[in-house]
Amino acid sequence: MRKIAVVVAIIFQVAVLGFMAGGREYIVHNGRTVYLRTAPVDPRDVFRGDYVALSYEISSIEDNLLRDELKKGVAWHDRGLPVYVVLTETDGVAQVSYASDRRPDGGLFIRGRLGGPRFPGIWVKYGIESFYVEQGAGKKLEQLFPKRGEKSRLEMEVKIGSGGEAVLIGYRVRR
Amino acid sequence: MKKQIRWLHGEIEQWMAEGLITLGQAEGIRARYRQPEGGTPWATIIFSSLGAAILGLGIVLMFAYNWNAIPKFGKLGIVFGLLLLAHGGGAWLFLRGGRYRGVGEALCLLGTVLYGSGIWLIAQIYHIDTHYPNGFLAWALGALAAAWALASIPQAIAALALLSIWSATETVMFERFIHLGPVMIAALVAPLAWWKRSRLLMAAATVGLVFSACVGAAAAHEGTHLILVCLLSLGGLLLALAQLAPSIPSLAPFSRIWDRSGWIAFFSALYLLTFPGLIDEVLPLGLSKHGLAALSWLVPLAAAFLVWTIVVLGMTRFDRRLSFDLYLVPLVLVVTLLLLFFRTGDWLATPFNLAFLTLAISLMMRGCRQPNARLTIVGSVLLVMLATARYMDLFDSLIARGAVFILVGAMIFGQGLLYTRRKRAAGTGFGAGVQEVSR
Repeated sequence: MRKIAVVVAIIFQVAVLGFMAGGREYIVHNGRTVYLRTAPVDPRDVFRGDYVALSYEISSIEDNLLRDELKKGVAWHDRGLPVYVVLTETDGVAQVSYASDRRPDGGLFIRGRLGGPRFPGIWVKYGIESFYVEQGAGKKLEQLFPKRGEKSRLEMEVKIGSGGEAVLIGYRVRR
Repeated sequence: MKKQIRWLHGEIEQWMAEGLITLGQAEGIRARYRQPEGGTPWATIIFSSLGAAILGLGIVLMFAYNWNAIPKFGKLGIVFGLLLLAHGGGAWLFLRGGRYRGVGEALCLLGTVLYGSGIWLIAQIYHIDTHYPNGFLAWALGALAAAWALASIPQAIAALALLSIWSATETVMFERFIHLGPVMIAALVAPLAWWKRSRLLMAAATVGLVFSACVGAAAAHEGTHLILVCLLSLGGLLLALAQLAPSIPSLAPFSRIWDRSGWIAFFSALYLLTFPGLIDEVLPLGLSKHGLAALSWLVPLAAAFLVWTIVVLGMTRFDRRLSFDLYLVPLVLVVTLLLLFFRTGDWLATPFNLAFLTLAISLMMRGCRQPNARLTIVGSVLLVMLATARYMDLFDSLIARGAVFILVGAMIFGQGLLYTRRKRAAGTGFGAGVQEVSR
C-alpha cells in the first residue's frame, strides 16, 4: 500500500510538469503562428533569471471594440475574467477585430484574462508578457524600446491553440 | 518523556550510591522505565533535508541562467531526469527501510524541491507568465502528495510553507480573499500531524493556519478590518480544542500547543480591541455589510462555539471544572458577536477592556493559588500592558493616571507577597510550578 502511495505521489508530480510542458508543446506543433507587435519594458525574475517584460498592442483594447458583457463595462473586481480577442492579420501582424467574454465559434482568436478597466476600454493579459532570455541577453531586446512617436519594430512570434491559448516562441525585428 | 527517563536513570545511580534504594529496586525501576532505543533519526532528517533544500535551490539558480546552448528538450530532459532520479532513489531507499530510510526521505524532499523548480523552469522554457501564485499551489499539492505517501514531516512542513506563501501572495499581491488556504491546512496538513502524532507538525500547522486565515481576513475587507475578529475567533477555537484534547487520547499530545497558541492569539486580539480608536476601524460596518468576507471570522467563531459547547457539556457530565479565566473566553466571543450585530455608541471598547482586566487578575489569582510563577508573571504583565495602554486615552487627569498606577503597583506587590506565602505553604516539591496556564 505504501509503495503504491509513493508511486502515485511521484506520478502526480511528474504529471503536473508533463501537463505544463506537454500542453504547450502540443500548441507549438499544432497551433497557428501569428506575430504580435510589442514593446519591451524590463528586468529579472528571482527564480527564472533574465526576462524582458512585454507590452503588446493588443493588450489595450478600446471601448468600440468590446462586445457582449464587456460592452456593458467592467470594474476592478472583474479582474481575471476570461476574455476572447478575435484577431485579423494586417501586414503580417495580428490586430484586434473585437473582444468578448464569449468564446467565438471559430476563426483566429486568442484567450486572455481581464487585467482591469482602462479608460476608455480594457486591459487584457495573455500570459505571454514575459520573454525569458539567457542572462545578459535582455539588454539587446531592451534597446528596441521605441522612441516617442515611433512604432515598435519588435514583433513576437506566438503559436495559438484551438482554444485560444497562446505560447510565445520567438521574435522578429521589422526593418 | 525521553528527557525525564534519562534524568531518572541518572538519579537511580545516585540513589543507589546514597543507599536510598537497593540494586534489585534499581533494576526494577530501570525495567519499568527503559531507555528509548533508536526513535526518529532527527539529525539525519534535519541535515539531509537542509542539504536537499539548498542543493535544489542551487540547481534552480543555475538553470535560471537559461543557457541558449542547451536546447529546449535538453532542458526538459534535465528537469524530468533529475526529478525521477531524486524521487526514484529516495523512494527505493525509503521503502527498503533500515538505516538509510532517513536519507531516502531527504532524497524525496530533494525531489519535491526539484519538482517546484521544474514548475518555474518549464515556465521559463515556454515563457509562461500567468498568475504566479498558482505555481506555489501546484508545488504545495505535490509536496502534500509526497508527505502523505511517505508519512513525511519535512515534506508536510514544506507543503505548509508553500500553502502559506500561496495564501500570502494571493492576498498581498493580488488582493484576493482566499478561504482555501486555511481550509487546506486544516484538512490536509493537520490530519497528517494527528496521524503521525507529530507535535512539531501540529504546531507548524496551527501557526500556518492562523497566518493564512489572518492574511485572508486582511484582504477581505478594505485593509486590516477583519484581522482582529478573525484572530480572536481562532484563539477562542484553539483554547476550546486545548480543553477538549485531554479527553481524547489521540489529541492529548496537542493540548499544550493549542493552549499556548490559543492564548497568544486570543490575548493579542483582545488587547488590540481594548483601544477605543482601533475598534472603530475593526467593527466599522456591522455584520450585514461584511458579505462573504464574514466567513473569515464566522467559520472559526462557529467552530469555537461548537467545541466550547462540547467542552462545557463534557465538564458537567464528568464533574470536571474549568478555571474561571477559561469561562471568560467564550463569553468574550459572544460579546464580540453581539457587538457585530448591534454596534452603537462610543462604549465599544469597554467590554473588551473589562474582559482583559478580569482575565489578567484571574491569571494572577490562579497563579497565587496553585502556586505557579508563570501565571502570576503573565497576569502581571497583562495588567501593566492594559494600564499603560489606557494611560493616554482613558484618563484625562494626572490624579486618575497616578491612582491607576498606584493601584496596579499595589496589586502586583500584594500578589508577590501572596505568591511567596502560598509557595512556602505548598513546599517546593517536584513538579511545583509547572502546571499549564489553562489547567
